Amino acid sequence: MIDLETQALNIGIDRQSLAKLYAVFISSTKNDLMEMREAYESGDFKRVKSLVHHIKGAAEGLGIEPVLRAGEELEKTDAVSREKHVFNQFDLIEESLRDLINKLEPDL
Amino acid sequence: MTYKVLVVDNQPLMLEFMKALLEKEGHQVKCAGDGLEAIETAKEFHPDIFFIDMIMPHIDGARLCAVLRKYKEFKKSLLVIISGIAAEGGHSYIGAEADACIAKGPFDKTAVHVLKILEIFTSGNIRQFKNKILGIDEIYRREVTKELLFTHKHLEVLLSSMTFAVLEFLEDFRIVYANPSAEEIFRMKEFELLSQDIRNFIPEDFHKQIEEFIKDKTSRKLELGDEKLLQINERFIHVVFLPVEEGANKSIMGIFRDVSKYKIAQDELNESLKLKDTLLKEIHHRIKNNLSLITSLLDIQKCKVNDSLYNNYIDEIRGRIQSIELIHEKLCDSDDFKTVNLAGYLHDLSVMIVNSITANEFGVSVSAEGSDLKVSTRKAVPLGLITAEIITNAVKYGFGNPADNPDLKGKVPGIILKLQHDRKIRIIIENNGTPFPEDINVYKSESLGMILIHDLADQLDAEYKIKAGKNGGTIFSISFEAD
Repeated sequence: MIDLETQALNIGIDRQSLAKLYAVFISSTKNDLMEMREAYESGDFKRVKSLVHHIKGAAEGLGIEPVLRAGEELEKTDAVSREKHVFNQFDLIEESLRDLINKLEPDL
Repeated sequence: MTYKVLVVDNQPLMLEFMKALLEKEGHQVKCAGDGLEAIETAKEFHPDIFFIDMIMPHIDGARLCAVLRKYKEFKKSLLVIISGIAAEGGHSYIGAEADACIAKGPFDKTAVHVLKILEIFTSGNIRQFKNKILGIDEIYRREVTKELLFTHKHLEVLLSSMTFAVLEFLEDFRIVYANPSAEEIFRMKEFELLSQDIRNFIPEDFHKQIEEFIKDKTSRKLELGDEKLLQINERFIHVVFLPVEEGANKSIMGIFRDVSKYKIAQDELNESLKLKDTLLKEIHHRIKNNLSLITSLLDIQKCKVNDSLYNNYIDEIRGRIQSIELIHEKLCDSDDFKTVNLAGYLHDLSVMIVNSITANEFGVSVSAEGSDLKVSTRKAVPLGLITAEIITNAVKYGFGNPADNPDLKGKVPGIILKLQHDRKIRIIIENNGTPFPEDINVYKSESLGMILIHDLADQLDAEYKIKAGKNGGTIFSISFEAD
């Protein structure tokens, strides 16, 4: 479980607003991930980089470490030659989102 | 103290975070998803403080700060860049207009810096943050972002130093970028151009083409100002529109080139060509008149001399001069002053010579048939002289006095000119008078007329023949390569 109360207090916002931030993060990251998969498959690596930047920024704000690490991996990876590794990172982000939803279920 | 705050970021999460944080502190907050929306919202909302993200589509944070500072009402507003690229870009990327910069990191840390800046702003001591990046030690640097920033900087330098005006606008026609050359062409500063409809600056005649180009997703380029002149602020402009697509962000880049100098030069050139044409026409007209004067003098001379031998000579000379005179007359009426219509020229020349020798007395018919072919004066002059010789011979020796010529009994004396044109040009001149004597070797004849035909044919690299026709009369033919 995520301690929304304490995290909200640390940030300086109320619990309800923080829950809303998580909901926005999950929804926008889902969309970005879907677009990123499509961009990667069509060879648009510039777009992939731009979306990774987006996802990482959001994950960093809320301190969602697994998504942040997957983003870092994607930034470092040679997208063309390490296709399998890239897809692994996409899967990791997706898995982290599922995990986050489970942990936040009552508040979302 | 509470403020009116505008947060500008293309990340919905960041907008939500800042809104929650600042509203909890009692501030009045509005959000904008990009630079263009920010300008439009700011004009109505009049914020005291702006928190602006650095990397955004169309108008980035640094440019937005520069644009906002141009408005009188935002000269003293607090402009804070809040960005994830602060660590990689450094202060040089943030620009001179921002009052403070926060490195975008974890929300709890970012929140502390945001609230600190508001506190210092209230105390009136905000200048201490100039050239500082708050929270830079709390985030990590990314090589990829650094590369992107470097490319961005290169493009920025390139666009701002281009002599071509560059204007970028969205699919709803709102302008999002104008380089310094565009400011010059449109006579407006970038901040005045931003968010305006590009159609306001382009003549209405071209609107439909631009609208159709934007609708047509397959179209890769639109050029205006080539076939139909496009004028903007009294300048002649050539413009190329190119679509730019990056994920969901779509825009159109317009590259405007001031072609006024070329247009003026072209107009001057056309004027000078027109003058040249008038002069050439005048020259041909004067030569024709002078030659006409000579033939008139010969006519007067002919009337004074009652000797058929001299009169024959005068007729021959007159025919030759007329052949050249007629070329100049035809050139006066031609489009290019270089070529004449061969069939028309030879026909008119033949009629002229026949009439001048016979004084229109013998009713000789002259007809021409064949292709509509134009030849240069280089070929027309020798062909005219040859034709003059052949026609003069036909009238003098082929017809003589038709009433006394047994070969013309029951016939109208006639000349037919035929012009054929395939790989070579072939001219045939037939008459129905007395046949050409078979015992004369045309190639060895010492008569001036024959010598002239021979030499002129040589000049044309032509082959010619003179022979009696199967049913009487004489057939002359000459063939040569086309121009």
